[in-house]
Amino acid sequence: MRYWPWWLGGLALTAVSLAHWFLLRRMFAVSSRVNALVDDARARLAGEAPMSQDELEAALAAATRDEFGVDVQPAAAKPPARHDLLFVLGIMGGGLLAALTTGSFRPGGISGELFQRCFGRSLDLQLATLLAGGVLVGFGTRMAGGCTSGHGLSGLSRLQPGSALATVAFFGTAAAVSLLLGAW
Amino acid sequence: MERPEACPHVPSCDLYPQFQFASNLAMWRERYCNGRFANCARFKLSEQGERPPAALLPNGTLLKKVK
Repeated sequence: MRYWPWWLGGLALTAVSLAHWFLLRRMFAVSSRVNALVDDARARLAGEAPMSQDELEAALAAATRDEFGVDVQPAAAKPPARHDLLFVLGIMGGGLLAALTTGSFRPGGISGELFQRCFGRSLDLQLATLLAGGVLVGFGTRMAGGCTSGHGLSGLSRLQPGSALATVAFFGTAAAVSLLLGAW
Repeated sequence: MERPEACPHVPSCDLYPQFQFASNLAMWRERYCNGRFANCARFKLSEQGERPPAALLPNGTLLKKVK
């Protein structure tokens, strides 16, 4: 498997974090974007139409008048429509772009050599392993109040002690498991 | 002058970004997110491990659609 050089990955993450802030006025955190998308889908399935950006602004203006007694001036900038969905699609697009530009794109392949050595070549077993891994990551993310991007990029840049601890736990565990699997 | 401590749940808060778009909405940010976040209803729920509803305001009321 080939990857982008570390410095290019760092520059790309910085660019994404800054673009995220300027476009959405929101700290870069993948898990909270996915959560928002799931909440939105759940509300739609329950027949509750989520508020549009315009409805949200009008409701916030009314609430601000009640709380502070002031009228809210219209915002000069707005977040792009359906930005949560665009964000998740962008993650997939970014992964595809990285795989294409490094020549490591393999149609139909879902795992690397080390993964196959550890978990076998059966597609069912590989999918089950990935699903179980995803559930564990989701559980840990909720328990830690954020993921690698939220704590590692946004939290550390704000000098949050809890984010530093979470990042040490994420990467310490990842390094230990990776070394363990490599030695297996 | 020392900067007030910001709420640790800002990165995952669904409402915080909205307080950045219109200038008068910054009042919410100043009253709750930067400093007195212990009074924020969203902070209290997050501290209990629950995800606050997107429509929950820091003062504990729910946003309602304006007709």
